[in-house]
Amino acid sequence: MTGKIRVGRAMAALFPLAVVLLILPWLSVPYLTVWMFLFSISLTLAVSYDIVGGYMGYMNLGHAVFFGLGAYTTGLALNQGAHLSLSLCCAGLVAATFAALAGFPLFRLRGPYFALGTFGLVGLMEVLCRNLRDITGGAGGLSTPAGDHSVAAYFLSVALAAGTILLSGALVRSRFGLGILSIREDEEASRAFGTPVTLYKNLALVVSAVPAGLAGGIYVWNVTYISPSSVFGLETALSPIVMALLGGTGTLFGPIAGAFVLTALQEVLWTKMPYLHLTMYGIIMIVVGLFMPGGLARTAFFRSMARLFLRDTGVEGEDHPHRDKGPFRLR
Amino acid sequence: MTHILQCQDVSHNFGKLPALSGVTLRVREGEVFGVIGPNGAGKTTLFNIISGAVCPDRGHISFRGNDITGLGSGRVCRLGIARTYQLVRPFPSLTVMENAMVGACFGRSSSLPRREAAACALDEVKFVGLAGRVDSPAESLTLAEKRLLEIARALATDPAVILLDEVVSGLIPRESARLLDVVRGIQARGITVIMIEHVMRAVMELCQSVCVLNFGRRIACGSPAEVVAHPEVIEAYLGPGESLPGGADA
Repeated sequence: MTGKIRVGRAMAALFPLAVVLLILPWLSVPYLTVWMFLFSISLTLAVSYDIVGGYMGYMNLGHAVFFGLGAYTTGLALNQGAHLSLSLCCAGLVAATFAALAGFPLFRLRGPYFALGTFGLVGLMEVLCRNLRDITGGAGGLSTPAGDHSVAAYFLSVALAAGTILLSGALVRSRFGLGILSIREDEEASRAFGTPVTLYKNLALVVSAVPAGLAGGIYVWNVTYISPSSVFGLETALSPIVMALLGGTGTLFGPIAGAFVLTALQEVLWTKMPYLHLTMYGIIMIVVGLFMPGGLARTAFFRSMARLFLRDTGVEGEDHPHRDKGPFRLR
Repeated sequence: MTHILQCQDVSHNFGKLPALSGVTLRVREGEVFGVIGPNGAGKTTLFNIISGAVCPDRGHISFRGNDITGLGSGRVCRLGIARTYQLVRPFPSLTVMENAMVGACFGRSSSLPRREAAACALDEVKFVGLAGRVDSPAESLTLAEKRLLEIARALATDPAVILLDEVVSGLIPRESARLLDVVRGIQARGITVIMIEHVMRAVMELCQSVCVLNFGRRIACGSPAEVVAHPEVIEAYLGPGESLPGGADA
């Protein structure tokens, strides 16, 4: 059974966090506000990636496509004088539409073929953006109206990250969530028991695309400049995946923990070894694969932490003499 | 009794190898129908065809008088024919409860919301005797428990017919007895059971009708006693001049 959230305890722990997040911009540590902004964007990407990559078990190396599409859509809309809210709506819509269309051919592939197929999309998008100069500004990138949005962008990004975490947690506890988990476990058996496999796979991709598109929109609004390589580059494509793997895919806490560790690590790496931080991704992936295949969330420490906020549901009012505890669920 | 399921002249080839040729059988409502035959006789292929996972090259499957040939496994399941797998395929990292819930959520004729699906999944988990393991991941179960779980998942779809593919093979006697009790319980609920089985004792005890396949052809069909006395069946199993256990004095 998916762990039921101990609402009281979760609220008690989240309340101080919420207070800190609310007053952070006025604590006169602008560095921290900027860091939180970038962290929230990464968090949104890692958590939304994990819906398809973790819960459904389809490694989508092209998740950055949705981020990039959202960023370009918002950028173009803002340059046309559209309001931010309208621009973000467009970003979500474009990302969702693209996911719905791309899902049909892509979900005919499985396993490593699906991963490679989606990875190809990132390259395709970068080439398109470089060459459609009239629309995207080509390799020179796209600038949007300047202005100091840092506080508003900070709040928007934190809200988006929180919303994405809630979405992912609610999704996996739903009927749809059960369907996509069973697809990960055994697609044929799942189909044989009536799961609308094709519909659910496409729907999962659409649902994971929207937060990524919105994240791209908020990102460009605040940063005011994007280029094909900044939103469709290798690093943007890989970092949410490395975060989810490091933290533990298919769990609620995994991508959060992974995003936190990696975003913190990036700060050090950028300054200490500016040319080697991509190498670190590779090293992390290898080390996690060798020594911690379940990711941080499945280590003893994190399990005991999670146990504070989740409980095995089992059967209410049911106390069976041979009831075994079973390994703890982390979803 | 009326026929709930009919296979009419079903043939299927894998490349040039005929897996089934012209198999016809009729299953009456409420009975336990056994499908036996040596390895490679086409028993599992027949199950794959009935359950809609494989579309036959020729022939028709009809369920309650409606043609269901080639409808696809999901739709056949929702119409009321659920199955288990010979090599067990529960969803390994999902819990016992979640496994059964997949059947209840998606496999019924009218889809259930998750809460109601949970209640009915729990009933089936209790029915097969896995109530103590609701929160265990399926991969941690023993082989016998995995078979029981597959039965619970199939029952959760509220089927009229359940296809059991070798539920007692490879089990110790105590576990086999537990499985066979469950099969009796399924029949007592009025669900038609079609089972592939190698263990003759189980077939003789449980089945009202038996069909014997050999090299994709139906070589005999009838009551268990009739079938084991059939000369072609004896020859297929033991070679000429022998008799099957339970056959001689049955």
